[in-house]
Amino acid sequence: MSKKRKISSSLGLLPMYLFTLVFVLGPLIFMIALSFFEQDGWSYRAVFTLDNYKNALTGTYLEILFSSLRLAVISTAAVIILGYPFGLCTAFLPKRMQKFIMTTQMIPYWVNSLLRLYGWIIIFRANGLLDKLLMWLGITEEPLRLLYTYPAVVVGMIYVLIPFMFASVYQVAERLDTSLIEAARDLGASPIRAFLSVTLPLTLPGLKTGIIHTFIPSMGLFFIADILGGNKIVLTGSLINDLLNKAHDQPQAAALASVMMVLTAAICILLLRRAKYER
Amino acid sequence: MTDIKTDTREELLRIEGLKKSFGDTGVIRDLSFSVSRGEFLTVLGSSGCGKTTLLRLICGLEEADSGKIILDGTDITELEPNLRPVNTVFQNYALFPHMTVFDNVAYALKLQRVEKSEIKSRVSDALSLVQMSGFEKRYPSSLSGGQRQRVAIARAIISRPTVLLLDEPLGALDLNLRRAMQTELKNLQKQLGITFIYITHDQEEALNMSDRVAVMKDGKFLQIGTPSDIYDRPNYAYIARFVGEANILPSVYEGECDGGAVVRFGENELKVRLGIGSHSVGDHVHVVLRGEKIKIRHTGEGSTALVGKVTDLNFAGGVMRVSVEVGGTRITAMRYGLDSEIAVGDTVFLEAEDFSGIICENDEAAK
Amino acid sequence: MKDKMTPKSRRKARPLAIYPLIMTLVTYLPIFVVAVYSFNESKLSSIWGGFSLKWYEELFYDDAIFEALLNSVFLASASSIIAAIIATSAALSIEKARLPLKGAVEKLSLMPLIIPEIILGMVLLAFFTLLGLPFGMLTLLIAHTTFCVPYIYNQVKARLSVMDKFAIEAARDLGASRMQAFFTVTLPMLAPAIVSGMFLSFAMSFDDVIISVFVTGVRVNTLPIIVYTSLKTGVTPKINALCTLMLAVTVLCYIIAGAIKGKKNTSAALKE
Repeated sequence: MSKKRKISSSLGLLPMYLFTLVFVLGPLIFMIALSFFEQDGWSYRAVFTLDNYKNALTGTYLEILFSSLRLAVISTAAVIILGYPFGLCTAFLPKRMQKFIMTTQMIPYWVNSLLRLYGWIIIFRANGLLDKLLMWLGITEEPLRLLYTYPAVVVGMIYVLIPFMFASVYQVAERLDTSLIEAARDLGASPIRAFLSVTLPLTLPGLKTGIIHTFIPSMGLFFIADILGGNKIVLTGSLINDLLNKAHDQPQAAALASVMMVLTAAICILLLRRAKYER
Repeated sequence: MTDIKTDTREELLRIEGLKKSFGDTGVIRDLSFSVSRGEFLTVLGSSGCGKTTLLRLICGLEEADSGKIILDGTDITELEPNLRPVNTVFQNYALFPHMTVFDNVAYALKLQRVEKSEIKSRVSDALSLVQMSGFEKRYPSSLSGGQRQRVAIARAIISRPTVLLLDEPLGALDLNLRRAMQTELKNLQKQLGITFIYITHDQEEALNMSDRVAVMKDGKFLQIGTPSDIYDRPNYAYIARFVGEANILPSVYEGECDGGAVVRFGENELKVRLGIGSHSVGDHVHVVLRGEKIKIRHTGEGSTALVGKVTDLNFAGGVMRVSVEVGGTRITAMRYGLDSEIAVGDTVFLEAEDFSGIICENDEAAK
Repeated sequence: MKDKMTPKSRRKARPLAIYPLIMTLVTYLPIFVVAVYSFNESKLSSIWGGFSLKWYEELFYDDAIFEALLNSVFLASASSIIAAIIATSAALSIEKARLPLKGAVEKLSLMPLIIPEIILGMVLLAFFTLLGLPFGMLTLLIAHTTFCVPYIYNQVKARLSVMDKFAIEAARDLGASRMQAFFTVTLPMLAPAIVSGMFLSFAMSFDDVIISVFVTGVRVNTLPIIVYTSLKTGVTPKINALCTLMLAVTVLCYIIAGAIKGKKNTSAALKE
């Protein structure tokens, strides 16, 4: 009887097991193999080479990798600065307000993110809403032409990524025992000291999850740079896209993707190392 | 222990040589006993003694490694839990959170495809039996612990099981409610005439409610008998300590006398009752002497008076516990009411009637 | 959720609310802009040509967008349903199952959550080419299922860990067969987690651009792909109208759901 149960349990796991092996592990292994193959016209040959990695880690490709990393770091930092207090403040509001903010943060989720970005295009466009507003206020005299600039891309990144940070921080902060903060204050800590010694460490897990959910996608969100940055800002993501869809150079794309994955994995592992009390 | 006093009533459930282990740990170790129809049997033991496993074996949620469970003449050892006429009141109620009280109680009947009108009347009967009428449309999350408990009982008795298993059903309730529920459960059992197997670690519950009590330790029954048997004639020192308060006097066996025995405790000779073991002269034995059977005097006379010094007085509402040291052994005697005559440091004489103590086996013998 | 408010801290809450409210306003700013311009008579977003519904009319007759919408709805529904079945059955059986390296495979199945989408898209593209699969709805479905599975799996697993397992045993004890216990107790108790996981994965699939761009065929378009290409090639205010409609539908759904929930709560409260 119990043997039967074990067999039926194994059968229950089997679909996910096989699906994962075939469509997650399979492609990943293939990507690594591919990255060592030689490009041959429009296709590739299964001949071992390190050229793809040489290319990926030198010259233009390396510069592009660094600029992608820079954008990811800048965006993530901005998301932390803006998103952490957002989640934290919300958790301390009356329940009704919390519910309101949560719902209003979830609704845009169901509206296509590209369409939401398009709103920024209208705002940033030369002679667009922002320019008109600034000129009407007399702050600037001629259009700023913000669209297709680096700051526009950063705004787009922040806009798309901030809900993840908000949700992660809010989830942890909402469960925070406020009496701990009161205890710290009671023991003589200033508000800032109480924040640094109690609130921050206890909400750190949420912050970390938030960073992971911000940083990883930010390495790959090439379409934001495409739409808001025009063709001026090339990221590894768009490079991979071009290599695949225009140059059909799969091995080179695979090598770039592998490098990118090692980078993100390293950063995640660093962040996921837990503090002692979290275990 | 296979020493079972056969009841005059008809045997309903028989357990034969039941064994169950998880990995290398034997949880139930060769257990045999039987339960009569309409009996209230309590299995008493501390946590980890295997009592919950025993219950899960009877209701079919665990499979026995070996042995037999015979219910009403049918071997149910291999039967799936849903096919056994046995229902359980779980420790933490295990009510279905997504169903109303009505649907919880009606669950078993719905599975049996009982007609709707009958379900309705039987559910309302069961709910009124546990005094929960009017709660039909509520969800378990809106009930208090005691109310959930009642619903769990109603749910378990609705299909008239032959045996009702109760796994520490009062464990999560506060003391007052627990006392009230003890009486209620006992009455319910009489009213329904269903055999109850009740599991608890609370000796008060066991002594108060049951027809028989089985004391369990390390997967075995140390003793099974009426509450007064267990209290007054414990087979093992462990039982004496577990059930009520007991003084255990290390003594030396000196021989039989008037159907009992004479033992030497320190300088004194005591006449005590014989337990389950047999002893020869010179053996070291344990004598159990209940505190309430000891009288304390300031003047010593009589053959069995023990002399000692009062070391501690402990007044616990109505009962005064007097600890006396007699030749290195601490003996606690009970006195009723406040007693200003006794003070710490006094030399007192302890006296008990002949044959009020009993020789019991030490705990190693239980293994 | 516990209300942390005491009368004293309630007064402090007001300044605390300013920041979240500003952030909420900023969140809606671009959406609001898009919505306003969807009623713009002029084709150019820099000029306000007066109020008009003509873009809604054009949207209504746009077969390509309508087809893409149907594709997206089908893709999101199908992949979250398939993922729900795979993930729920796996979460339920992982503990007792005997398969080699099941722990490692479990972790691996969660990988799509932490792999940048661009990489997931690229590896699947390369892999599907290797297998010779025809690019189209099938490849989209497989790709979307890979990232839907972990969302649902995580939700169901978390729910299982706090679920009262004795309730299932109680059902068996009360006469339910294994199947009956599963359908009357286990599944209803897991339902909220499965549903919320499916909602999440539906939203993720419905909004996915990157992976879809990689693994779709020439003929099959999803809504995000259409939007992406039109954003690159030049936007007509039709897109604005689409955005506004999606927002309206979402808000409507939330209001209806809220009303149903509110009604349930008040009727439950009345009975107390």
